[in-house]
Amino acid sequence: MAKCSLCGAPAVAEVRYARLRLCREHFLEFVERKVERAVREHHMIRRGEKVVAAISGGKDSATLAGVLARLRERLGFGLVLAHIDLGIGEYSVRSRRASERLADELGLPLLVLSVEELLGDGVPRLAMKARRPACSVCGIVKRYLLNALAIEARADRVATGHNADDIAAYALKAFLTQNLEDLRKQKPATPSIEGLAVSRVKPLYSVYEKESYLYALLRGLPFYHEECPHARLTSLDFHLKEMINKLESRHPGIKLQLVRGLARNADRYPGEDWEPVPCRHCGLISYGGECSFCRLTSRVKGEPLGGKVRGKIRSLIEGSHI
Amino acid sequence: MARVTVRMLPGGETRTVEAERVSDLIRSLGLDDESYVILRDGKPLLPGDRLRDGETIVVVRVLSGG
Ligand SMILES: [Zn+2]
Ligand SMILES: [Zn+2]
Repeated sequence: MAKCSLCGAPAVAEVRYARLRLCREHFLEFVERKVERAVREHHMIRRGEKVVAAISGGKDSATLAGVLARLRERLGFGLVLAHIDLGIGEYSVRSRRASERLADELGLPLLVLSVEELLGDGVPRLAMKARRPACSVCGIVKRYLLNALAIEARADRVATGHNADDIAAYALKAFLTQNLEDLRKQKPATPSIEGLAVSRVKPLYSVYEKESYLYALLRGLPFYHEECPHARLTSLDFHLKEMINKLESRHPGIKLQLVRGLARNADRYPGEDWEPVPCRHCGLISYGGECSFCRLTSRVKGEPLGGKVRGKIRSLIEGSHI
Repeated sequence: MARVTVRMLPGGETRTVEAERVSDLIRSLGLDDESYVILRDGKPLLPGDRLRDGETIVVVRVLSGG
């Protein structure tokens, strides 16, 4: 049995790029310090701010909420959790349950937004009606609802659980396809735009996917570890993750170098030419006057639903402790 | 050499593998150490740990798909 490099207790994790073997306590501390460093270095959260952590019910959400819950006193910020129930059958039922258990375990307030309740259809049916891939509809709906929720709750930040593997794969894809604007989007913190969009931050951007799984597991946090039925293990994104990890096995630390480098350099890549303007239907961020959520709902539901959905979210918030 | 039952997650597929240590198990399944966590009774094992004959080991793919 291997021993912890710091205290000699039995090791449960090996961090090859740092040449460390760590016991449970020291591993948890290692991940928490890594996140704290990232949050401070990129000014992701300032004292007195209100943070909405978006949680899906998976391991990254558990780690995100678990670490932020521990950092919130030292850094002095308020924390609430938000879960979007996508209406993807059993997968969504279990994800929602895991999110509720996580909130209970951490003693944090949770707001659940159900796509079915808000729009009358879950993501798969919306996608079918829109004749678009489920994952692209899912992306539009999630992004919109989280931003609307954060605006209505007067939050300063939306934190998401993107880990280093997600970001490295996304960055490599952006490079391979030469969509260099996508590299710029991988900033650990984007600024708020008054009344239009709330700042988005990625506190786990330097935490490896394996570290994120181990953190949630070793802290005993509730999470649901199944694949969304729409995810494809044959996708380019998944192959890129595997490829980067094969490289990481032979060159420990290369993934960390990529995500930390990108965090510093993201602004040096080209940005969009479009200036953000309020959506003429709902007032939230759009490029060109109509947001992608209002465009999607016009097509599927016969009318742009952004404004109505914002109203429903506002009354949900008023009836909660958030 | 230990003969172990391996349960793969997510999915739950099982198979039998002969290996001495966790690192041999990972190699014989054609996996890489960065993308998988190996568990015995819910506790993570390290590559150098020895396997026990007849035990059941859980291999978790930690990478989520795209
Ligand atoms: Zn230790
Ligand atoms: Zn709109």
